Amino acid sequence: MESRREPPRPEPDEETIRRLRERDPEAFRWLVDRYGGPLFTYLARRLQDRSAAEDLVAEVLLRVLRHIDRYQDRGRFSAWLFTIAHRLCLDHRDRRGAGNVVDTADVEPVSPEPGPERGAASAQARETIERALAALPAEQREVFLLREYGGLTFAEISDALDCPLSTALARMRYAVLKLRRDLEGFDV
Amino acid sequence: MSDHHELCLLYHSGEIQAGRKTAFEAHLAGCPSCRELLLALGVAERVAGLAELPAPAIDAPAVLAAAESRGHGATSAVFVVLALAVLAVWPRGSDRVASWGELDRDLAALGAAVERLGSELARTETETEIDADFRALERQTRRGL
Repeated sequence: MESRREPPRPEPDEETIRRLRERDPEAFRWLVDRYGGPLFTYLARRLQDRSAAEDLVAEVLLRVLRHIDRYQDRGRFSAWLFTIAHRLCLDHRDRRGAGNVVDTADVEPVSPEPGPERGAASAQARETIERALAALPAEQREVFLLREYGGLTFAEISDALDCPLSTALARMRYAVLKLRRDLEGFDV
Repeated sequence: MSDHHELCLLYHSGEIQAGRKTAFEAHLAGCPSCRELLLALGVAERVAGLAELPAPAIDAPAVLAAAESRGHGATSAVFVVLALAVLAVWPRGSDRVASWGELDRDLAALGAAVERLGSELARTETETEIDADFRALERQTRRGL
C-alpha cells in the first residue's frame, strides 16, 4: 500500500526569497497566494476564532518580511513560516490569559464558507467535519493542523513544538483515529 | 505507541528511511492495525482538504509599508546626537586639557550621555514600530478584511 499524499505545495525558490527581502510586491503577492489559505485555516482552527485568525494572518506575513534575513539556512521556508504562526498563537493565548482555556465542547466551529473543494461535501457533512475538527484536543489539533495545512514533516513539527518526535507522532495518530471515529458513516 | 505505528506515520509522510521502507511494506501486508492507521491518515487528508478555508483579503501595500517602517529615521538621529554629545564635551578652540584626570572625567561624561541617549532612542524606535504596526492593522480593518 503506497503512501497517497498529494504533491507538496511549492516552497519559494531563492529568487523569490531574494525579492521578498527587497519587498518586491509581486513576490509578496506570491507569498499571500501560496500561504494565505493554509495559514488562515491553521490559525482559525487552532484558535477557534476566525476574527483573531484574520488579524494574525497579516501579523505572520509581516513578521516573515521583517525577519526574512534571518531565514538563511533555517530549513524549509514553510516550516519557518508556520513556526512563526505557532508562536504568535502562543502569544495570543497568553494575552487572552492562561486561565481563559477554551472548552472545545462549547466552541462553535469556525463557520465553513465556500472553499476549493466545497462541492464535494454536503452541508451536513461539512458541519460534521467542522465539529469533529473542533472536538480534537488542543495538542492533537495543533499537530494535525501543522501537518495538514503547514505541510510540515513530523521532524519539523517536533522542532516547532519543541517536543519529542515520538510525542508528535502519537498526537497525530490519536487525532486521525478520533477523526475517523467521529466521521464514521460520512463519505469523505 | 508501537514502533510500527510510528513507522506507519513516517511512511505516510514520506519521512521513512529508505532502508526501512521495503521491510515496512512487507509488514503492512500482515498488520490490520497499521493498515487501519493508513486508512485513517488518508481520511484525515481528505477531511483537511474539505475543511480548508479561503484566505481573507490581505492589504498587501499596508503590510509591505509596515515591514518597511523599521525606524530608519532613528538610526540617523543616533549619529546626530552622538556628534552633538562629542562636541558638547570635546575641548574647543584654544582650550587645553589640563590633566589626564580631566580627560577621563570628560570621557566618562560622554559615555554616560551616549548611554542615556541610546536608551531614549531605543524606546522611540520601539514606539515608532508599534505605532506603524497598529496603523497598518487599522487600515486593514477599515478595508473590511
